[in-house]
Amino acid sequence: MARVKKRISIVLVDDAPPQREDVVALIRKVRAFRVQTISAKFEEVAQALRTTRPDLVLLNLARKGRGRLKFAAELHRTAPALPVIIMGLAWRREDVVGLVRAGVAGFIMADAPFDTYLTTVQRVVKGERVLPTDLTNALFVQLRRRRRARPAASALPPVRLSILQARS
Amino acid sequence: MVKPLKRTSRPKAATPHKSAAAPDSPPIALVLIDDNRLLREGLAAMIHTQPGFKVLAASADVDEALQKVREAKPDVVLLDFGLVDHDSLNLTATVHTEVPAARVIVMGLLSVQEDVADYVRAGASGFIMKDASFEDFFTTIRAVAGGAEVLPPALTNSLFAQIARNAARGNKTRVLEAVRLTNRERQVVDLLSEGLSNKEIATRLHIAVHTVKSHVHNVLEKLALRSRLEVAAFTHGGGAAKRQEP
Repeated sequence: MARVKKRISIVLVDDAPPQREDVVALIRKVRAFRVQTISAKFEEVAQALRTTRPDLVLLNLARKGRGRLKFAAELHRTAPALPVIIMGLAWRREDVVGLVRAGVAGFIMADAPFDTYLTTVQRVVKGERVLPTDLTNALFVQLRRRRRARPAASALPPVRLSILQARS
Repeated sequence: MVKPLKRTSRPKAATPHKSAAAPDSPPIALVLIDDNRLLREGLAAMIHTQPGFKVLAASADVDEALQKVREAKPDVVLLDFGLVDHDSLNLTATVHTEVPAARVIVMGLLSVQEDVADYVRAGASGFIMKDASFEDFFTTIRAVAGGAEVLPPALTNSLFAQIARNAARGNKTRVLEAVRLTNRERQVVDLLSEGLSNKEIATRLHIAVHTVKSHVHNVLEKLALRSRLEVAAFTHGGGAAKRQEP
């Protein structure tokens, strides 16, 4: 018996109505995808995740910086196992690292070709992480900066640890 | 084809990749460091067959290769991840610090490698996996020589996981800062982390031993920990408790 391929259920969280129809049209071109659009009010998103149990969340947020980071982090806390892809055009270096920390699994440049959308969604649903080449540089540079900023960690001497262990 | 989205701004962080070298541009100069002779000579021979590349040195001797890198300032250093007698991570940092113009590509990483972020921090600009194709190999060298950073898809998971783990560690510090510990309790946490006994803490803070016990009890409650060892491990894992200004 032939296996019926399950459609990938996507929740599109969008705070940019002018672009929404473009994005939805783009996703609907793929028969294997099923899309539901939600405004970017967090309570509505959380409710939708509980009721629809999607395979993936696609974030298309016009808000920048901390607003976007906070939204992604809250989403990850609400549904830690749910993969999140974020799309956008303007990325600050620190935002890329922040979004990875916030649990984002994939990035799509909003001007990427259609095939890139398709493969990014498919790969992220399979559990992979996807970072476009344009953002690799941002991530590398930010990681190198963090290395210099990080204070030296003090290590508890082993003898002290054993004393503590004995007291515990 | 689907029309592009109606956004016009270009990404700020995007690095324009230089296109492949023009026919009359100088070849990409390489130094190859690998202690596996068969691989080293095989790679050097393979690179020689390709126009646009020039191998300045291929060596198992790290000191000799480093000297060559300092003198010749190649465009790219191809460095084996698993050097037997040398630490490839330190070598990456040395090349990056001493000859920043020479961009390091680390070769031979396993897909589950967990120290990708360490190599990035040390200055690696690209990675080539063991299972890379001929095309991947040369595309990566060209891209890195042109100023791009190259992370194979299989390593992206590792890098993301490492960044997320580091963030989780950082959260512990924030927990300590967020929990409402009194100044005295923070002092007790610091001294507990140094491994002092209740009596030693009492002497150090000029308070009674039973008062110290009470502070320890409160700290354990507030941090939801079960023993003074856990307090020490917690603070050393996430940074010492931040003192409040008096």
